[in-house]
Amino acid sequence: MTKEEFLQLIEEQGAAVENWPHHLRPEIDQLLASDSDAVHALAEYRELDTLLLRIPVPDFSAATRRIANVDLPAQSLDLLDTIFNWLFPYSGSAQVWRPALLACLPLLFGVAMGNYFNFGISNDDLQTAWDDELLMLSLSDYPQDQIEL
Amino acid sequence: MTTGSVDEQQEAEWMEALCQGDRRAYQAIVDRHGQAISHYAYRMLGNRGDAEDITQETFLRLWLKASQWQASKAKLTTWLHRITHNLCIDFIRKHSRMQALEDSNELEQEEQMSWQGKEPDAPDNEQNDDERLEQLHRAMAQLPEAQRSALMLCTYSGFSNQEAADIMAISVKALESALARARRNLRAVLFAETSGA
Repeated sequence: MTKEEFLQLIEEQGAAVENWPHHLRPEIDQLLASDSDAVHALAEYRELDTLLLRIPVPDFSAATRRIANVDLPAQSLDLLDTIFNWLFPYSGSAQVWRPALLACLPLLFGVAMGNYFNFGISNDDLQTAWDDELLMLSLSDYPQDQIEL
Repeated sequence: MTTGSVDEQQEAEWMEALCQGDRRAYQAIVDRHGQAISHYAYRMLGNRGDAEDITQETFLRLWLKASQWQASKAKLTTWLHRITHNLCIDFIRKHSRMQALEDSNELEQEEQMSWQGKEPDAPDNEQNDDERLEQLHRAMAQLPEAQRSALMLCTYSGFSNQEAADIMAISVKALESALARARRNLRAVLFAETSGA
């Protein structure tokens, strides 16, 4: 490992040893044993991490309590959200029949529509189609030249 | 079962209750995540009042949009930080400024800042340390928002690079690039004489 690669590693993963990929540690140890610049850079990045953690932040506990007790508006879900929540609740696989039912709906719809509507296909049409088919089959028993005659 | 998964299970139950309008579940979630969200917003915006507003807005969205959270896709804390992150970015872009961190007066008014109120006769090394902390604080305020977010999420909030990338909606490679630039910039400020940067 080169010094540049080591610097890139600590800049991306942090200066804490536990953040470094385990398989790279022997190479890192070797580099640190031989390169004082790398040791110096690591010390600086560790100091940077320490200082970062020491930057104080205000105490927000009062604000948190206020937010926890704030008056909340009514949870009004629109129709789409309500349907989506019913279909895909996040309570695991217990409600898996709901999306399964949704997936079956187009099939059930198609069966129902097929039963109630003929979509322009009447029984008479079917009979004519069968007659035509039988005629074609009967003609196929004759050679082509005989048909033309 | 690990503590983490127990917590996650409990949070999933709270979220389910929250969807049914359970206020106690809401309070439990605010109690658990309120400080972390406030700290993230504060570090992003540098202003206590704005951070409180963003925190309140985050939890209001949690209350109204709880049904959109999917346990299989993200941990609750990741989802909340993502909401906060988006609100902070909107806020910064809308106001086009960083308030308190760039404003020395604000710093002086923050009673909680540990480097405030030091005795004048404090040891030299302690004063130097405080100066460096203040220097670092200001340098962080100068970082571009992507670099600052990446550093906040990985250093303070304890997210992995993958989780931080998810929160920021960028690739892990882009996050690591932002992290590297942020750390390099801060090192250059802190160790200008020695790092040669």
